[in-house]
Amino acid sequence: MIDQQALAAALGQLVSLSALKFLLIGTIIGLVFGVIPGLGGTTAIALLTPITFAMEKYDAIILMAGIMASTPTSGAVTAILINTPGTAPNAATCLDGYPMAKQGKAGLAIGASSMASGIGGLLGIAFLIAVIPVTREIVLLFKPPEFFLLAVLGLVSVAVSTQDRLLRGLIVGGFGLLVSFIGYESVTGEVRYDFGIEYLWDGLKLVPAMIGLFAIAEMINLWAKGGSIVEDPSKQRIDFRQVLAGCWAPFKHWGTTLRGSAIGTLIGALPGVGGTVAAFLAYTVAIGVSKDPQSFGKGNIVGVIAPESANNAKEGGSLVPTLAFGIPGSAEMAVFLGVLVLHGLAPGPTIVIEHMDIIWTLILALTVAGALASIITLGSARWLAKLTLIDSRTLVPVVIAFALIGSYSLNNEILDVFVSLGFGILGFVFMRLGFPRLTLPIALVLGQIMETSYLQSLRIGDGTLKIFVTSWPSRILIFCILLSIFLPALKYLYNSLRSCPQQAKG
Amino acid sequence: MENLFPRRHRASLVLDLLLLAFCVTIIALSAGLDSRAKLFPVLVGWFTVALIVIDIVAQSDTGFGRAVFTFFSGSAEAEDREVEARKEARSIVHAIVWISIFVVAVWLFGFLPVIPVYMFISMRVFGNNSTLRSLITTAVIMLIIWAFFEYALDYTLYRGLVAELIAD
Repeated sequence: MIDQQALAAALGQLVSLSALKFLLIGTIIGLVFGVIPGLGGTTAIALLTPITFAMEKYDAIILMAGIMASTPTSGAVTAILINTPGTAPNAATCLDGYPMAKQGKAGLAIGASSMASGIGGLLGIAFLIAVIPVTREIVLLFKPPEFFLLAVLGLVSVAVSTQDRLLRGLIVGGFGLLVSFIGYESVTGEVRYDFGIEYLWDGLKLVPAMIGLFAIAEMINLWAKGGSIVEDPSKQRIDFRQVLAGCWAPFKHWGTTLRGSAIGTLIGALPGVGGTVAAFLAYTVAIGVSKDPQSFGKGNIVGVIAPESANNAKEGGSLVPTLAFGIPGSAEMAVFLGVLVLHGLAPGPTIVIEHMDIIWTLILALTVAGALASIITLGSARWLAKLTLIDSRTLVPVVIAFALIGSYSLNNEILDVFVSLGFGILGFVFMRLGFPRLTLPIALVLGQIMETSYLQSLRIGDGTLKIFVTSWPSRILIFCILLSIFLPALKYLYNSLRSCPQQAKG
Repeated sequence: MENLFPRRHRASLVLDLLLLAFCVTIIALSAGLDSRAKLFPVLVGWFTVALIVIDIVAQSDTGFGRAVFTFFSGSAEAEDREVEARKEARSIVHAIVWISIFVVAVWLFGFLPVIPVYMFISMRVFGNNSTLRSLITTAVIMLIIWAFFEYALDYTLYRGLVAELIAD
């Protein structure tokens, strides 16, 4: 049942001049932070949290909602234009968005990603509204064994999405997991694999690694190649009609948009799994159901729509555990939780019972900001797409400068800049030798979750592995993992069998 | 060896061996850890070692190697990326060295003095842009960086090791 009184109070808050001002400011800040690789929603909320202390709680929440709703939208812009995801979940958008930009279809890709983001965001919020009464039951279905298997599925699905490079995707994933174990172990507190370097005690940070893997690696590639991102600048069409055609694409491929949004909201609702897994899972599913899977990775617009709808839909989903249980669904939500606490709002059942007006304010602000972010991004797409025409000798130093500032600014640590450089060179080597980079950041994100849930599962199951097959969600997840691993072989077998009768006829 | 592993796969093979060395190092370092702290890393380590060995086998010019490759890739033909990489070797080294110089310079002198110098040299010397255009672009980018980080966010960018030593 919708609390109409709370909804009316929230509407009253949102239509005030002050609220609209903060919503616009939040959206613009979010768009700026989303476009700059490495900065993203978590950094923006963290940087602005102290400022909100002097603000009204409603204004503070509206400002944060503006940031949360807009960073994933603009993060896709750099993913498409310079193969550099503005935020981690935008990494999946690079796979087809960047090839589209190289083909001169940047406007089309930006149009599609912005509209898919807007629709995904709205569907995610609709999901949030629908499931608030039954959240507890859904989240409690997932216990440590299911979390572990979900993380494995996330990693395998990303490896599968690299198409013909599943084996190497898994190798890079395994390497990423080992790197994620560097530093303090969460249960025993023991420092592992630090090689005597104090900096490594806290482990390698995700953001500098991501900046290196995507921004720096791509810039090394671009510098070596020379010219501009667009291979043939004469092909680049940056007219508004192309952007509009892109806007229509999520409606044309409505099945992909709905599927991506559903995956995003469901994954977003699971604490700790986050938007990166959601985006990649949506991308992999899109390949799985496509009649033309070979076109993915080469500039298929569906490969932009699927991850972007999932990425924005996860915002609504991840608010479910954050608000209902006080369990953040992502790093961004963890920081947002701090904002709520700062304003005397204890997340958990209390906020759902006593402060429904706050929840409605947040929902409405996210809705408006999501739409606003899409409109602003669409409006500026024509100009943003021109970035792909800039010569590498101009673009590379600018991107490198912003990327390394982003790397440093998160922890005020200059060694993070060296980590970015190291991962940049590694990413470039991976890229050139046919090792997919994308499983590495996923593994870095999932390493901690996988280890903790694995150890917890063993403890629950008295040290036996049987615990991983006792529940029906576990069995479904195991089936999906096995299916993903055997998918390339099955596909090859199917294609061979299909071509045999044709050859016989010929 | 020459017959078993084609020359075009040599660089991938080297990368595989480096990754293998990393995995073995992690497994070896685990020996001195608490049993709970090493359980999962060792499991992942051995799993990754197995995958690397399979990848090495998949690159071999044998019937079994080709079958393994087909099983995991869903295709009988491999894409040849190494040839392309070898062609651009000089410009790749140049790119890596130039970006590394920038990082070391930032570490020594900080972001604010290094970025304009780096940008100007990249545009003017390597990009053959006009001096005026290089100067204007550099100035605009520096203004944006300063206005956004130092002015709007009131955030102090890294000033460099040299400045820290002078201050001390």
